[in-house]
Amino acid sequence: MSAYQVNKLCHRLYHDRSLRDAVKANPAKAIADWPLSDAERTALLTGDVRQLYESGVHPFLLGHITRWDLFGVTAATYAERIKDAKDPN
Amino acid sequence: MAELVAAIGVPHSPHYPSQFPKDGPEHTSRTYRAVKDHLDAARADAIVVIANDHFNTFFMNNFPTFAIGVAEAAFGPNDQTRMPHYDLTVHAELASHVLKVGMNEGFDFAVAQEFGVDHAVLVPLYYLTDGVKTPVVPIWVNAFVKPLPSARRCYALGQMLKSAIGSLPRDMRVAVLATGHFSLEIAGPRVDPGERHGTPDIGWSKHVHRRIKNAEITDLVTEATPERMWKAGNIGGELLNWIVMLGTVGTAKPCYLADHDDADGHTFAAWSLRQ
Repeated sequence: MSAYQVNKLCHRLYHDRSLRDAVKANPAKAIADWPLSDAERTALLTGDVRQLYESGVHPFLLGHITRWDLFGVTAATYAERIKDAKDPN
Repeated sequence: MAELVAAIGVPHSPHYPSQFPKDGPEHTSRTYRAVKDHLDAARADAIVVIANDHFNTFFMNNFPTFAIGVAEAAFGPNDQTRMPHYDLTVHAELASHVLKVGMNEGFDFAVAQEFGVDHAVLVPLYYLTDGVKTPVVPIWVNAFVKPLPSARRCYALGQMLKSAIGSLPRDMRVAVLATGHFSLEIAGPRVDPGERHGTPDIGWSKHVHRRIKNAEITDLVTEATPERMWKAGNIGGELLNWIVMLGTVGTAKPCYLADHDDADGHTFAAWSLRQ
């Protein structure tokens, strides 16, 4: 996984309110057209921020999803899930 | 010729403006005011701001290692920082001159001619100026998208910046302002429980503060490897903004250095460089 598309999605979520609203309403539908790998899509939809971080998603961008609790991830659950993550190479 | 009259280094947390009023009694507000006194005394006609973009002006589709804003105007904040909006004047003549001198000396800047700036530029200007009216020249350093530029290269860029300012054929006074933190983790594994941020390596932050206090910048440049800065947090590379500024300072000691904040690791410093 290059993680680029997930980075791009997180970036867009921060700057684009309509995409944000779409993800809040129906996450799977909102990202259906994004060119993500199956693993990336599953990780996003299950809020598996540890895997996304380990695959190389930039933490500054990934952390944006907690600003609006997107994909069911609050600041508290994010901190809990990310704490044992290993740095990507 | 233009003259470099002051150098400043401060943090740039986007949470400050909503937490600490400019004229408030809080420690952060008071410390910014102490630095502002030094900047005011320098009577700068332009401020070169050295900061890192947080994916608000640039993105990974084309993320510059070093970039400079060459335009007449800019705006910000272009992120969601809760603070007033400003239309900034950019000192196009100085920016264009720094670009040319830089290119001539091997610093191949990316050039932005239409841009907004984020909290890393505007939060410090909000506290350190009266209404962000002084013309600015933004220089962006990649401080958090690997691979980072080397500290040695950043220091050399600062040296170039100093000579560029000194060779601008205009009678004007220029200040250099670097912004950022030395130990900070945002949304990575080392955040505090339940938080979006943490300060993983207060010892390193303290060490950098001591290096600055003693003007041991050659040692600092050697020590500030990508691995060392990363140990201090995924935003630890913001030290590079300071190292560019320190390249303009040379061996001078700061005329103002707030005590190290042992809780947050924030450093506030000022240098008077008037000849």
